[in-house]
Amino acid sequence: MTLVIGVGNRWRGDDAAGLVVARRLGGLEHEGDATTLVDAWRAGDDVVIVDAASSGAPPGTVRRFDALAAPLPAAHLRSSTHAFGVPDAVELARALGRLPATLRVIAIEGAGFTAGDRLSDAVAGAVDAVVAELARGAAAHARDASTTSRNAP
Amino acid sequence: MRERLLGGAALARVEGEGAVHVRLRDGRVEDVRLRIFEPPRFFEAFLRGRRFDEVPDITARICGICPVAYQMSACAAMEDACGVQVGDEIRRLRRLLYCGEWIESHVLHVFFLHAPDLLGYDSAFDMARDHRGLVERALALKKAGNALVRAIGGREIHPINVRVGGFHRAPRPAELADAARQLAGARAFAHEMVGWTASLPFPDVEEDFTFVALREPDAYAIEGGRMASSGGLDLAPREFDAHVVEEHVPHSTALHARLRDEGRYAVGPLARYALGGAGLGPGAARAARDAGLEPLVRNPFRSIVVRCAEVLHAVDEALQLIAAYAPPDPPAVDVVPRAGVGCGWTEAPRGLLWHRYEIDAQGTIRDARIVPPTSQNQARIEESVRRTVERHVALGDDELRDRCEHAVRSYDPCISCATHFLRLEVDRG
Repeated sequence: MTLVIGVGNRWRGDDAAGLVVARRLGGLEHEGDATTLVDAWRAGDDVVIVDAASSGAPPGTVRRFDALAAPLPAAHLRSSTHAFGVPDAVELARALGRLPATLRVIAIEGAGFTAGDRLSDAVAGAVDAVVAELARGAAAHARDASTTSRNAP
Repeated sequence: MRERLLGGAALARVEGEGAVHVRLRDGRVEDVRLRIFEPPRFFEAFLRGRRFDEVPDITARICGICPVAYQMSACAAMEDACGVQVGDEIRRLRRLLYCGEWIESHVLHVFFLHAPDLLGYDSAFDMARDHRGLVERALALKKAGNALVRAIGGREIHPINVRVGGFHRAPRPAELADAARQLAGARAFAHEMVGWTASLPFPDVEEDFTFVALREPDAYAIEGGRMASSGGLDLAPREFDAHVVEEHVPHSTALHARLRDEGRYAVGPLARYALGGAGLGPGAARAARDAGLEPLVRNPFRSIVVRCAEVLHAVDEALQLIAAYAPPDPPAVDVVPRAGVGCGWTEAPRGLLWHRYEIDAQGTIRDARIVPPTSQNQARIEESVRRTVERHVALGDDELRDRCEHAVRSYDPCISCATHFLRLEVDRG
């Protein structure tokens, strides 16, 4: 069972992207500072974090990262209005030995992050695609997980 | 005049983003500008046309680290507009909620943003590898603050239980027990941290400050009070904009604030401690004394010690408030909108936060003004950066950038309240 965590700010335009994904999948909506992400999962969990990104890519671009394999590109995931974001939270968890069994990060490129409660069209479309991907994902995730080393439950 | 951009590294470990530009000529500092590229006042504009009772939900999202502060100041201002006074029990519950936020915000800053500077680490996680026990205990203390916010606010981030007039529901005493347990368990660590931070190696710096903070006769001001200044001001919320001038400066879309008679000023823990330190609870006061904290702290880097004293104060006060807690019944007073203007303020973790609203007879917001602590500090932060550059002008650019970043970070600026992007530019001509 995968824990989907959406990170963002619902009143900052496309910064809500991750929250919308999590809401539609019944996952955890996480607004505010990322230090508490470390407490959001347990050691054996399979976790997917969804966040908005600001890297200069075309709005709506979706990128996927395996956060256990390598540090996240911090420059891309500075979408949140706070510098202590998802990449820092993941590195903190790594430094404390508190990463989950698997940790994927899905980044959706935003068009705008100014005050407002609507997603841009490009991001709304990307959100639909990510929701569908994650909803279908149990079988695909099991295939991925079988190639990832993990402790026996 | 040739302008050379050196690096372009973002200012790390500051909430949100901003920019510092330094111009040097022949080894002398010609200009220092803190550029805050705020999407200009988007939230104030966004509030126009919304309902008066939406302010807690909307303003909470101006800042991901201090949503309670925005809710509390918004409620104070809107209740002033509507001619409403909440009773003591609601006020104490608000103060308790606010203690939770002070704890989580200060702990985040002390351990994850500021301590790495003072210990010579590039990042909080480098520090976490070497000081794992310390960071784990800091996370536990922060979690205690989060638990308190969740117990009263209904959710850890962006409390949903706050409304104009009070709360949607008053927690039952049993619902505060878990937070109380966590706070009690973390109290010893909070006490130790006052002494530990006081022993860190600080830049040997003294600056003159004009301080501004709320003050209360028998308490450390958090959720209300009258505004005091180093020069002797004693104001009510409606007098704020007669004394505080906000001016556009060409290099920033945020506004520079200054007192009409006293000039640029600083808000936040140093200001609160300077103007109202006598209000600290006995445990925090004793820890501060034992740690050798001077009664007037004029070294901006030593703000970390004052923050720890405030955390300890908030832990002790929260435990007292929980022990004496009686659920307010009803949990909120009725608030009927009326045409007019209201002003209100509280002490956010970073300093005084003032709101002003104009509403019509139907309760539609006609105008909103929000003055965050970080924008009030901007001019003063520039001054500290200028002095930092003057002290370290002989250093290479990377080291100079580090020192400037340390100076900015010591103010715990929540630049997301006021800006969007930060980098350091040093122009040596």
